[in-house]
Amino acid sequence: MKKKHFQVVVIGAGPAGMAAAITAAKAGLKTIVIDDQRSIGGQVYRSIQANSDTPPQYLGNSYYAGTKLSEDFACCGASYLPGCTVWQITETHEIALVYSGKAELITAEYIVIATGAIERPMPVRGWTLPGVMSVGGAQTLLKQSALGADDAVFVGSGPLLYLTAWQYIKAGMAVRAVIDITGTTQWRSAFPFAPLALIQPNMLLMGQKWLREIRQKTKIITNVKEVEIKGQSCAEAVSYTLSSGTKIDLPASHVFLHQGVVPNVNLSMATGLDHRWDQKAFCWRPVTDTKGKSSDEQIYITGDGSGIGGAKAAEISGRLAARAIMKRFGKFNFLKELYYKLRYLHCLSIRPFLDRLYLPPVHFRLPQSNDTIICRCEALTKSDIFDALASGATGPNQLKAFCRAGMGRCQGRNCGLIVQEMIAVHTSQSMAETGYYRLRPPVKPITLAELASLEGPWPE
Amino acid sequence: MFKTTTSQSGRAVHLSFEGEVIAAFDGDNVAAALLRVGKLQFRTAAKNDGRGPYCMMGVCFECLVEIDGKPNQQACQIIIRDGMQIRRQQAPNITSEL
Repeated sequence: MKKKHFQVVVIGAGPAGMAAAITAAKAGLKTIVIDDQRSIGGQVYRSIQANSDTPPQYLGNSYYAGTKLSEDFACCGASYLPGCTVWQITETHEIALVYSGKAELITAEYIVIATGAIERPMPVRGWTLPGVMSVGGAQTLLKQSALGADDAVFVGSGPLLYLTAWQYIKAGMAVRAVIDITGTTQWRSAFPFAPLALIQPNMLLMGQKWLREIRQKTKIITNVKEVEIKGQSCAEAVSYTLSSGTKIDLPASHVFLHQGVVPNVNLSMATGLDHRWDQKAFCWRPVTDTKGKSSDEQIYITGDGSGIGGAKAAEISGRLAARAIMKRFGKFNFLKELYYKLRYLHCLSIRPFLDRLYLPPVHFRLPQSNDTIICRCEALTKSDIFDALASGATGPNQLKAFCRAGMGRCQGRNCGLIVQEMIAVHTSQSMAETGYYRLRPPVKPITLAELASLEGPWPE
Repeated sequence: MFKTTTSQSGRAVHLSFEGEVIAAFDGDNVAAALLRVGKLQFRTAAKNDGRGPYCMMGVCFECLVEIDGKPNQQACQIIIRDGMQIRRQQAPNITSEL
């Protein structure tokens, strides 16, 4: 069977992917957008089309900022394949998909990876209990299914925590408490970058508004040094310890955790592209030039997948990547490129401040109790990991062989950063020296039946 | 318990979860439909501990259920169909297999 060929294949239909596709398609390039979700928007603009008919006001302006982009995408002329999983990008730039239970290879001249962000894991004791979700998960339920829970406790730090708590309050939910784990000394490292952040006063004011309106309806608990979730078969209470040593139990059957987002690098790492450890943002990110070109000349990485910048920055970085690709087809507009470059820098100006202010404290990045589960898929605890390290496992990949950490279905998305930091501390190496799990395709689990449905011709 | 924040409209469909009949809204994903009626535990993990939806975006694999006899289905990614038979996914008992 002849493989379908596209000039540009965009993976992900969030702000970066949509913007890249709009720009490429309008320039006349044969473009397709592949997305594993059922509708456009990515995570930040999840269900934006369904919600624009009868807008629930509680989602706020930052969410509806995606309306225009989604409308432009719908009529831009790019093909769109929702509900489709990409499980490999080969060295010859074939993209392996599973769609409706059938595998297929398509080919591309240029690939734009726009797979966005995932939440940084927050390994507190009891975080695997049913009833505990990530804040992103709670927000998705609100956007996609109009579902919220009364008397939930929000725990963590960072803009998404405050935004979602604010949306919950606006939606009429009673929020029991927001437990803010932001370190009390973080201000010191963030302060020098405050003037740069002032370039985006609207963002700072929006954050202030969220906090003010949250405080009107619930309490924000600060100076917290430890948190655990208690319960037998489901979450029943959040127990937190203040820095004064006082320990308090709050009854809660819904607990939402969040301590920031990091680039979702599973696809770009499994493709063999170069990555580097970003010590300031404390995450891995692909090595790219200013327009998103990766260590492979034909693959661009945009949006939060290349480094956390937020929805607006993601949209602009998608346009920059598409313009860089257009240039290689001989279509170049200097002024437009300059315009987007400046807007991109403008959007990113707040990041150094936010990255430093909301870097989660080490005692929340690392598990505190021996029985805290680290690798959720394989149900491995902190002491299981330490046993493997004591037996001589020297790095993340050897650790897999010792105890199966990171070998479950999520392929390290939940435990990778925790395990990496535990090893770094244990071996007194830096995070960069410690490295990460070696990721391999399939990037998402596929069945043998799906794999077997691939049609030839097969290579010799 | 989760509740609907707006006047949710849409055709009502029926699913079964562990043999219990559940009313749901057409268009919901499996995870949202079950959470809507207070079901929080979707599977058991290797040490027999209960797990439920965590990320709702398809990366954590905590919401795996068995749908119409097919295991390893991501409840947060699959849209419900009338008459769907859903069961909790039980972790294999590894020690007894060895």
